[in-house]
Amino acid sequence: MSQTKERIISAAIHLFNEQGFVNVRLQNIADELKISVGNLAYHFKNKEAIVARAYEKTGEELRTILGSYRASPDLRDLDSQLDAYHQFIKQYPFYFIDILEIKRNHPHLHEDRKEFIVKMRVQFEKRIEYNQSRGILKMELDKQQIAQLADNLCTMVTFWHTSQAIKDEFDDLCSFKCSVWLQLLPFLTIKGKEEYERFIEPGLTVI
Amino acid sequence: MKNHKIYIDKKCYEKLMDCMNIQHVTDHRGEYIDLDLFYRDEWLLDSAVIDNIVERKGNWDVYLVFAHIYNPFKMIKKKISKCISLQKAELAANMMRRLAAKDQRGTLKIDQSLFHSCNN
Repeated sequence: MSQTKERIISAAIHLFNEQGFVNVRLQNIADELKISVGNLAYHFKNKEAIVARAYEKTGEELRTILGSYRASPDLRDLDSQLDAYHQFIKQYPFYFIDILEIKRNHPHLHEDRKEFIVKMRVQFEKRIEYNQSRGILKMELDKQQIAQLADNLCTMVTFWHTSQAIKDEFDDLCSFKCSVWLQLLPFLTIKGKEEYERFIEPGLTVI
Repeated sequence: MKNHKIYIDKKCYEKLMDCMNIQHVTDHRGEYIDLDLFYRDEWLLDSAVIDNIVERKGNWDVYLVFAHIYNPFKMIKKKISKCISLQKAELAANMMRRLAAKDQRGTLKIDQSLFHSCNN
């Protein structure tokens, strides 16, 4: 992609984050870049094209995050993925905040996002099963409870930024990670708690 | 050309993740049982290698037969290659047999009496 196109997409993402996806017009993007709408239309014929490209970009980032599954054999694997998810949420808040708007106006883009969210959920589920198999999480959790827990974690990641925005609170990594880990803490075994105290807890207090 | 997106089915993705989990679970110290294949194939060290050429579909298939020298009923037959002429097949068989045999001079032989075959 050309440098100008890259600049247009960055400016559009910035405006989507600031003003909301629906409120941004081609004129706003052109003003942000200090170029004419005609010039902008030369690169992207309409807002749809810009949105589609912005979604491609976010899709690439999400694919990289999902690709880091089981990068480490212990709890640090989930912890590092939470770092990446938070970084993504901060960089592209519109991706999660404007969920319904995008679903209404661009159903095909919503399908793409749904696929990512399903994968995210599956990864949480499989991580729980994996940690159960190595004695970190309690075996009492049955298949249905694991699915429910994975759903909760997924909801937390998806709507974290929205809930912080409603409360007008500063969205920091520590509180995000603490909230997610709190969901898992009651299900940790003694071995799991040891691993958590060794690898995860120091990171949560230092931040 | 338009790029077509390929979607992966949820069940297929779940299976993929399961495989990733197994991969990590297997990332442990090995067990002695994992080395069983070496013990299972140990008898091949005391085997006589016999080459066998068979004509099949216009070609000459080269087989090697590994037979245990003390128990000739214990044997395996492996197809090594196929050649377009008998001369080439004989040459390939000879070379392969010498490569595979423990004793290249071919002194490891099977005693025919061990078959206890009855001529009647």
